[in-house]
Amino acid sequence: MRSLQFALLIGMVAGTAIGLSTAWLIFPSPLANAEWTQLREEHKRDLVAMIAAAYAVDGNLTVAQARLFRLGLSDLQATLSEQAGGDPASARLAAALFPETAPSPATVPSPSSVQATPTRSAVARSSPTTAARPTATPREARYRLAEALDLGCSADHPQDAIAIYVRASDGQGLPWVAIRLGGPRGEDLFYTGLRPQVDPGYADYLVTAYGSYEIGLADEEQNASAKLRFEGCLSEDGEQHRVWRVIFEREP
Amino acid sequence: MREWLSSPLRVGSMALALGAALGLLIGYGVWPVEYTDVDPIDLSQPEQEAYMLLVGQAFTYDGDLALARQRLAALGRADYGVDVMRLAEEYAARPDKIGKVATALEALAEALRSGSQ
Repeated sequence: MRSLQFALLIGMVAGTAIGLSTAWLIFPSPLANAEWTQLREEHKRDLVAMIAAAYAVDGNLTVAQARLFRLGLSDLQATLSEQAGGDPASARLAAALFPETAPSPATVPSPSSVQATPTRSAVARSSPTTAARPTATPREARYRLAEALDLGCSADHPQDAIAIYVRASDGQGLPWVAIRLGGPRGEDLFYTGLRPQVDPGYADYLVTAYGSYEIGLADEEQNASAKLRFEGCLSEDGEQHRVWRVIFEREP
Repeated sequence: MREWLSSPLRVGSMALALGAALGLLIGYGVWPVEYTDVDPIDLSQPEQEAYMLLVGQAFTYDGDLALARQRLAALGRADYGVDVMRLAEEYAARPDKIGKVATALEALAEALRSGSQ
């Protein structure tokens, strides 16, 4: 009887081991229908960059968050902060998702240093404690509204938009300046420098709702702001779009 | 039957077969192999389409056709330009919110076709 029990036990253990080995090692189920969470780290990072770029295009934070969630990143903030150093779109997304660590204009390095080497990572990596908004000092740069001009309707304008430029007193564009915009669809925060091919100090906002807008620098110490009323174009073919140009200038 | 089961060899063989079946059931059904560190080529169809969509939007943002090609090539498709165009048409046909997505994909498909940036 004992030998029977022994044979039963040995048979079951050996059979289970053979079955598991076959399923896990010898003939594992083929890889199919993988999800983003299973991607290699380098692909996940590339997807983060693409999600940030998509957010820069459509401004839809909810969609961006849902996409990032699908990646299953263990530390989203750290990943975004790391990538923010070399990627303005990631920096913008990081600022939108984690505003407490967003840099303020006063923490932004000088334009020359930004153009020479991407030093934004140091800003974006700051902990919430160290990234607290600095108090104003007598040396803090001041900005003024230099222009808020309705450029009118034209078929040359691809979309209804507000084009924002931030410049030094010598006309040099200033990247990485936080812009706050309030409008019919609520508040938005974004940065200059995302379209360096246009101008280092350029940022734009694609208008999807007509009405009153207020645009200013995000730094609470700065009170320069532009108030405008954005109206649609009454073109017969619907091909014309309006653009407003807003320019902020840093005082010498 | 009782006599048949009195042989340890037979009982052991039967237990071996049952154990193997149990092992296969567990190995394939209950706890199948989970893959990590996969490449985009291994993604499911919906996940690949979501990936393509992002490539299109990223291309709208940076205009980098070489990078878009590199990303699409990771999907391992022979003619990704056709796939992008097909996806653009699908999104364009949807009456909801994603018209801009269709535009981004169309722009990418057009750039892929013309081969210019």
